[in-house]
Amino acid sequence: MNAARALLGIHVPGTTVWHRMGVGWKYLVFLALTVPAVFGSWPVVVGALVLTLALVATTRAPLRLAWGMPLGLVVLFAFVAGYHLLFGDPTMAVKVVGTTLTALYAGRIVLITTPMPVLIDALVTATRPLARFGASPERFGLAVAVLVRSIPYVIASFGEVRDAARARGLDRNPLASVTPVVIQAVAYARTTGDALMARGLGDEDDS
Amino acid sequence: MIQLQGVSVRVPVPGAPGQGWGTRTLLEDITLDLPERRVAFVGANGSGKSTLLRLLNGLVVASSGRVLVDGLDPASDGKGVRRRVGFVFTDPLSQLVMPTPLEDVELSLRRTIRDRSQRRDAARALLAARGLDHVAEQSIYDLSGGERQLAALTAVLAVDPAILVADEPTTLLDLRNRLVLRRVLTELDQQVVLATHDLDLAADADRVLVVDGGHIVADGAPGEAIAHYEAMMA
Repeated sequence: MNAARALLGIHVPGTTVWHRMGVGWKYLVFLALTVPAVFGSWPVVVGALVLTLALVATTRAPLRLAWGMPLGLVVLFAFVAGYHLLFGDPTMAVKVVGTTLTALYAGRIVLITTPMPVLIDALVTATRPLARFGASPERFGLAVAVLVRSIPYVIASFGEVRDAARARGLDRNPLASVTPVVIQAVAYARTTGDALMARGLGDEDDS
Repeated sequence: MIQLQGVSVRVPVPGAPGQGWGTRTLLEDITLDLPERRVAFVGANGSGKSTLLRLLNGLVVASSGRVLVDGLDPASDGKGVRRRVGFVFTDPLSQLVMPTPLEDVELSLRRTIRDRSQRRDAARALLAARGLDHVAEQSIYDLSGGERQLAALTAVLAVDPAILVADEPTTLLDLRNRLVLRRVLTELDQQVVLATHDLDLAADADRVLVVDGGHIVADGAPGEAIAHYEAMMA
């Protein structure tokens, strides 16, 4: 499984109720799952996470895609949980990790069952009232699409850079692991910007 | 028609310690008319050929002189120029913005087809015409290099630009995919302006220009210009 699929998921065509549901309803489900997790006690967080995992499975996407998680994130969650456990706050460990996972998996329900152009259309429609204040709904939709595409790229960069650092015997040097990722991310942002500009995407009269 | 009139491109570069910033000239006083249907620029890495291509749709703005594309200046009418000029990059992964080829082509069509289902059908048809229907809904990361480049090309051509500019489009491809892309580029109705290290691809052009150190050092029929370039590199 590549990094692009591993974090947020990619659209998997299907005929489930999720695939037929309007995007607005899916956003409401997303909020219904994540808001109680954010504000609830730890049993609520655990309940929301279990429910969300079950709902992701009903998208009929392969379970590796629906439930899988990049190794880097697994390590990060383990680190966060370990930190809170170490300082004697197991409740916080469950809340922080559980809430983040709930939000990630709830996001996957939306992304796995909705083609990106449909998501962009929905975002553009939802933000259209802001156009009277000078905002560009098309650019907003495009920005979110690029964001969804970019996060997995940056995570994949971490993996590649870590391997390269390890090959040079520099895996214990945080500078060798972080600096190239920052440089790659900036280069990626520039090339993506060039590509968008070259295609005329986001030009003012796109709407 | 593409015209460059006394175009120079200079960029700021850090000088020696304590000396502040200096400038580096990427292109110097280039004057060209490019009416041919197939134009190829060849030159070593860093010679200025990519900068020259980037001038044609406003990705780079001339420091002095003027660029005109069908009478429009990319510096002042970038939007109009970008509607006429499609641009294909060396690495399709930096060009494909959406997760799948189908979604990326749909993104290109947003401006011209408002209805979502019509847009999807049109995107599917365009991909099928390039033999990419079987990968239309796959992650772009799961595609071969050739499929990615063809998908990027399809997304660019979806809006039917009058001119296609391609910056080393075959550099990352294996021989088979190079041949496929070469055939596709040859068959296009659009004017094609490309930069390449692939001398076979350059040989298909009507006119080849050799760029070296920011100057055009040879300009003519493919055989003659490529021979000049090979002699220069020997």
